[in-house]
Amino acid sequence: LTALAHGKLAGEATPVNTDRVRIKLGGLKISHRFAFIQIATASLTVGPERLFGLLAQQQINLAFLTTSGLASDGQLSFCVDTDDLTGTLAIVESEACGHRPYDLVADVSLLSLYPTKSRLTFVGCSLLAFTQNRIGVYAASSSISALTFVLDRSQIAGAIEALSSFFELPGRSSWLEESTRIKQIDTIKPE
Amino acid sequence: LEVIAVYSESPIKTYGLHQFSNLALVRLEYSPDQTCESESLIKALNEADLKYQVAVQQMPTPSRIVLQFVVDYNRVDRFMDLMADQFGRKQALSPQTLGPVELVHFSGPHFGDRYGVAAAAFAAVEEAGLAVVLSGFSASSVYMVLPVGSVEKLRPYWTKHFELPFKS
Repeated sequence: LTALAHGKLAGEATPVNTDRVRIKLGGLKISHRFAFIQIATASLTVGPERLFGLLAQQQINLAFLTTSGLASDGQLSFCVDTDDLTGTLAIVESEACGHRPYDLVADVSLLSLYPTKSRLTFVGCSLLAFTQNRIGVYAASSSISALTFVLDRSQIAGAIEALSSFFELPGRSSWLEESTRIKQIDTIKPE
Repeated sequence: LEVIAVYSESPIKTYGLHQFSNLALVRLEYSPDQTCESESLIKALNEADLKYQVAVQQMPTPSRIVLQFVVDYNRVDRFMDLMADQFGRKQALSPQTLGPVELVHFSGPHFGDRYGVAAAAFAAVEEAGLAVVLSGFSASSVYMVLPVGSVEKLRPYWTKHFELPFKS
């Protein structure tokens, strides 16, 4: 992912067809100050439950996580608060083999679109909007009513502009740009 | 601004555990340069009019995007037919399906802001001797795709780590 350090994919943006019917979007949420880490499970010396357990012991929240694959083909992708990056990397390096066994993007943001009504068209249109505009999506996952994308912070404005070719976006005043970070402190030690 | 939240609960409270079966996992792999293929993919998605249970995208390398989603097992053939209509025999996007699979979904108060949720979920799966095929944790939602027959095996281990709002 080093080539994606600034979130911009190589090549030219594809001309956008502005005549298409756009899908109405209810809201946007943007959260900043995260670091993105990706690890192949084959490079881990422990299972994901052990890695996540160690992170929990250090009270490190995974604000976003995807895992895929079985055994040797697996991939873990997650976001932590930038304040937790040093502690996270120390744990990852202690539980993985090889030099720098992870990919790191140090300053990412989470962009969520909602409601998607679980329609695959939302997934396809948003990914195509980003691809056409050469915006790298490090990872994405759905939740009950939203789709969340991990993007380079410097690409957030461009990403929203890209989405506007497929989606009718809500007015900027209704976007939720997270200014409050909730941090959980420990009263019960995790198992 | 930072807000400190304290959750005095063990096990972790949830709004409930939802389980789904008879699902199929679809896996598509493409490169960021395959914009034309992506357009065709959208046509196939539109025509299939499918709803997903969970959708996850990863980028293992800058030239490789992997999109996976879980849909009704009974409708996956139609989607694959539409993909074939769009792409012919080119095998673009390398579509693969796995199924049937099962899915567990749960959410809880401020899950996106709290540490330990993923640790507890993966610990339950590990203790049950199961493997996670795909998972997505974002906002307050957690989705875990498991091989068929896993969900019932998982339930007793799950309740060690998570509290359900009612017995079911």
